[in-house]
Amino acid sequence: MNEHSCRIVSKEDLVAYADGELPQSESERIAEHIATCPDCKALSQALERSLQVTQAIWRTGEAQWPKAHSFDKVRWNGLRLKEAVAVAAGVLLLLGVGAIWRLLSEPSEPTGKIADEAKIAELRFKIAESGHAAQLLAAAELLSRYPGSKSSVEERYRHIVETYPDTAAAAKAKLKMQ
Amino acid sequence: MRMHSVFMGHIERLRRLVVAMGLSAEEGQDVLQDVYVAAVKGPAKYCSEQQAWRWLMRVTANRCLLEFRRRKRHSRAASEVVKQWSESAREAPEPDKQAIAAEEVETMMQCLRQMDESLQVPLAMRYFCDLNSTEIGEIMDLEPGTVRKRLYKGRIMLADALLRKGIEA
Repeated sequence: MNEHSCRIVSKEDLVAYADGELPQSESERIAEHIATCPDCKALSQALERSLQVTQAIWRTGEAQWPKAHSFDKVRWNGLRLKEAVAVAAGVLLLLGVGAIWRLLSEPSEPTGKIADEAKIAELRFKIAESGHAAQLLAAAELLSRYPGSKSSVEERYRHIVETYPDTAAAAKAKLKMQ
Repeated sequence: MRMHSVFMGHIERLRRLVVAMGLSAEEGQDVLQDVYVAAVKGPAKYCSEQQAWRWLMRVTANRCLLEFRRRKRHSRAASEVVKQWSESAREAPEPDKQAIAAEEVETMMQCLRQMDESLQVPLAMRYFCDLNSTEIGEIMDLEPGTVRKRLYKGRIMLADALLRKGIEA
């Protein structure tokens, strides 16, 4: 800190004076002193100016905020729950359409291997896996839009690749990781 | 929802605290989002609105400090601050004064970046959120005298930074 050589008024008093926290009589005494003491005058002006500049920095930060922001939307891991639900709903819709299409394209009289219950169950399982993987991939892609999320996103891609290796989402996740 | 109304009732001050701690609007919104969730999910042990909003200020300050350790703060360009500042002034300052102001802004931002957290939080609460030493002490669990000492230290640090640069105040 710079040396304050004045022995009449302390730095504490100058700060209290600048902040208007002194009784009137004390404040007047310091104002008179500042007018004749270059050391106190310099510090007093620096105290005032530094606060003005700092407040200007803060106000600029404040001006960059949106006019209105709703805080009552619960986020899930950095994402708005609404967004995650929308992604999940979209994926489920696609899965539903796919499953219906498959059922409709099956022969009405189940014959051969395709009619085998085990095969249908396997198919359903694969569809479900693809759905889960696609859902996770969509969530990871949304998450990647947020700054500082890189490691978390990579972890999600790795999880998709390891847990659902035979899905399209895993292939995409692999590409993203490269 | 009681905490919701307390939060929304003090949103301006919470936002100012986040801004003064040097976070960007985007980071700040994330912080307030987290504080909001913590508030509405938290135990309803805050019997008065006064206690609830003190809790909100304390949690917001702590959450900002966590962000500090992860991110670069006060990173906006000095020219941006001077531009905004000039726009709010009645008369546009002359170019040479703008250059001096930019240097002052840069000096203050550097000082804020280096300033200890224990000084920066009370400064933000006192000079941007308009709280007095007693209120700050209640939020931070400090004696008003301790708050005043920290405010004094912070103010002198900022003023000294300007004086060291030899900028005419």
